[in-house]
Amino acid sequence: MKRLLLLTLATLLGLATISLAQTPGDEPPPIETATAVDQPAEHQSPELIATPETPAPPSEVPAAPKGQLEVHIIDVGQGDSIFIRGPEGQTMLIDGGSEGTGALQYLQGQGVDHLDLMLATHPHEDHIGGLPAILSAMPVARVVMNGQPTTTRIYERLLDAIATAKAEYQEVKRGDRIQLGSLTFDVLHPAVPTGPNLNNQSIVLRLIWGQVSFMLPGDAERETEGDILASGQPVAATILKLGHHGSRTATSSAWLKAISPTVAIYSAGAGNSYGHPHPETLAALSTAGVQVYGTDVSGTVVVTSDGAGYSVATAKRNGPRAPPAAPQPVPPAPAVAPLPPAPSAVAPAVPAPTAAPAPSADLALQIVSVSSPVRPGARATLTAQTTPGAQCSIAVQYKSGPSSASGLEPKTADASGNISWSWTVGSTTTPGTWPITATARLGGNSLTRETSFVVAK
Amino acid sequence: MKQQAVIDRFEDGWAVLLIGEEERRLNVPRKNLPRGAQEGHWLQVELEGDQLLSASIDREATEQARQRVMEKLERLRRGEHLQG
Repeated sequence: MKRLLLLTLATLLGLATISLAQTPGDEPPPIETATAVDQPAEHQSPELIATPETPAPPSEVPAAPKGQLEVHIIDVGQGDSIFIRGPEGQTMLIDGGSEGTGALQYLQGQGVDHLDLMLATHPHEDHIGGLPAILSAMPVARVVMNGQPTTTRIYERLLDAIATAKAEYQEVKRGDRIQLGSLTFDVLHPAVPTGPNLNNQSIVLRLIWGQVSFMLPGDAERETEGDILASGQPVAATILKLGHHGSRTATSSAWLKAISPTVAIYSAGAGNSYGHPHPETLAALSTAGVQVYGTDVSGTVVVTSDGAGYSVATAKRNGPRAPPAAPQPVPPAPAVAPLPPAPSAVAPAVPAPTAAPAPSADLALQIVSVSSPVRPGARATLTAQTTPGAQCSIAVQYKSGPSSASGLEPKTADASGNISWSWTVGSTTTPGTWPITATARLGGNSLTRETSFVVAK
Repeated sequence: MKQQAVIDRFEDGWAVLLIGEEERRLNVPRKNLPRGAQEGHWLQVELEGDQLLSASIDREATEQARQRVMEKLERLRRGEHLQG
């Protein structure tokens, strides 16, 4: 059975944090090697490694990853909650939305019965409100926070729930790494445990998975973005979770330029009181050619990656939102089927989460392979698997705009659902990582999958 | 009727208050809060529906909450909850 991807997807006392530190002078621990990949998930424990005395070496050299990584930006209305399923089945939750906004139900719908790691980026109610119920409902091995307290009851209830759950409690800061099986999260922020602005104490994480990377900045605002850039830490990422729900208080032009994402995803509630995402943010992303997804229009957004490419799937609507700078208003979400399953080597078959409507048509689309890297002047091929008879189209977006190369014409899938396109990358094509969007249509439904490929120098 | 509230956060011109025991969320214009009000401050508020009639910083309640959470946080940091 195919798995349905729910996609649709005060300054208080600055007391010393618990010591995670190695003794000064120790070499930073190596990134876990591939042998860890073969361990059963049950035996994996998230390990936290702090190297406060020695800056972490940049983890820019991708190890050859195995399996699938899933990053689910869960639709929790106005709040943040991100579920990560690692290639060995590791489970991690970053934030839990406000209380009662569905993060727990989403996890249960995904068949998640325990969390190896729960991380709260910062203790605002729209990020931690849903966490106590999850701690009560399933085993949680470890909870990671930034050490910044606040005085709300929901924060106090979170501390109580961590104690009751007997979860290990740890705090992280800049230069630390969080190891979760074969996944390594670099902690870019905060540099100090407490500060006057809770958003700007957010734990900012960068995850590199083969050729695909993620920037997860919590509610970090421009001041923090500038601080991270000034620290010299690498920030480039394929996928950017927009800071602070797409607010104009985050996503500075310098931050956007340094990260240079292909895809940006924000979490915000439809019709929220704060105007998130702000038009300025969307306009800047549009100008930069970044594909934008938001939980307010798309529902839960799921990025799946094998480390070579990635696909984006949404619960309510296919494809990125329309550019905000366009003169036309954003059209209403078309009535399309939610996405069918994406194959996953690790995920068990699970029932459809309650938040996801049942698919109304059996339309599938999965990008099987894409040539990458490709030199200018060389041939590239993308193969995909879809529903037999589906009408399929492809768009390759270079710096100069969409490719009009011969070979990229729309096609109809064969009786086995196989489809492929081959084209020549122009000899003057700008090197870089360029997005490719494939769309399948059948019986009034459509489905879009995205990946990217590298044009080498 | 005066009620207790706590400032969870500021969002642009809004303050997000959590009202009462059940921490009902309420957005109020930031300018309607007393000068110097910060995230984490406890307030005594007077509401008519969702309209904020008055607000004052409750420094004693703030300090009590601060001490309570710090004790709980320190216990987690020391790992006391993992023992026994």
